[in-house]
Amino acid sequence: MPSPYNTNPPPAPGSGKRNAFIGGGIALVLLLIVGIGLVIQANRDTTGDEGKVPGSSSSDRSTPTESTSPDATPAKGAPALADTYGLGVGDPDAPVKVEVFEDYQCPYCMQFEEASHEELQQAAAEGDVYLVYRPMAFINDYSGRALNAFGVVLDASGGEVALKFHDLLFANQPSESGPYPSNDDLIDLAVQAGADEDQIRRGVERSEFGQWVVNASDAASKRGVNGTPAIFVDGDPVTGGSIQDLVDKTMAAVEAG
Amino acid sequence: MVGWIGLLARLVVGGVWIVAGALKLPDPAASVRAVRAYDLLPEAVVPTLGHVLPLVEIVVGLCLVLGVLVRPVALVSALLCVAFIIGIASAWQRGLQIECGCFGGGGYDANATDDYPWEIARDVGLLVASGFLVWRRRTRLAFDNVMFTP
Repeated sequence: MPSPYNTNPPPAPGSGKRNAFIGGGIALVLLLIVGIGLVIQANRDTTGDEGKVPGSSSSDRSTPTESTSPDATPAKGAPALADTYGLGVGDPDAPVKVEVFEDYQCPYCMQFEEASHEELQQAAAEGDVYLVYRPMAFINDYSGRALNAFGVVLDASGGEVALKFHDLLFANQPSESGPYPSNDDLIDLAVQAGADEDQIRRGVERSEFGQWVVNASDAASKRGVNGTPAIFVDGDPVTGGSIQDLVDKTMAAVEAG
Repeated sequence: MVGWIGLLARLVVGGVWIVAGALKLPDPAASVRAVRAYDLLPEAVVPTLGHVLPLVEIVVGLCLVLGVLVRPVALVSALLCVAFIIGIASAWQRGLQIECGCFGGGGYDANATDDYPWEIARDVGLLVASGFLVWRRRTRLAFDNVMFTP
């Protein structure tokens, strides 16, 4: 039964057309907003832009003036930049290649380092493994600053010092909730590793390898690394239920050759 | 009464979208990596999707909260929910351990498998609310009511 009350006025002539016009207009504006936003976001994301890569600065700085390590590592297999974003340790032709993806802020990475770095670096020195550290930065601002500083040190002071700096960064890792080391703290640590403050201060403070940091993290993401630590043996990911498990499996693969 | 329920649905769903989008907006590179972590789409579209998703979420959220173009926007909202449910379910089924990246973040998470059911339940809830708004588009306190003649 039709209601006796008609609360709505009859549709005005042409209102359908008017509604479609308004609706279409708003939809167009919304699409425009998304489109402009997309251009802005794509511009803000510098991933893949060219940036300074460690080792690209004048080569005369890459040799440390004095060797701080008494037990001299042979020139072949000395730590050096590996495939743009990594620090290779040992002989690249060693029977096993171990890659370690890690973030300087990642607590599990620190545990992995504590449990493995002596053994792995020893194995690398003995020619049993080619060890490649692939630092990335995805956790927080400190991750990025630490990795930039690592890039600066690798560039200015070479692989030997960079490897020491890498170990020191993990040994002095801040809590994820802070307080975070300042750039001065990072420079102090780098000097402790054997870097020359005058050569690195500017690069650390101005984030000269910031773009390299972004690209390193993107390269890791494209390798399928979604978290750290991620270990690859001869290109295959190592999976483990715990950090110790990860260390054990990695060392077993190294010993198996 | 239905009009008031519709308003509530708009505010809840719209609010979630705004928060989800706003948290991801500051770091477009992280958003791209979160999309890539699902390992579902070709690399050619991953960066664009990573950049555009937070924007779409914010626009959808604002439209729902304000009551602008509720029916078509609720349809977009429902489709997004379906896409996310498929993404999370697929990651779960393949044994991936990733954060959904729903509210920023993304990437590896050791406890991911514990969170998947809750994330899917949340998205189903949002899907139902969005579906309700497609079905009953007339809601209280919406700009649509002023802009469009019935």
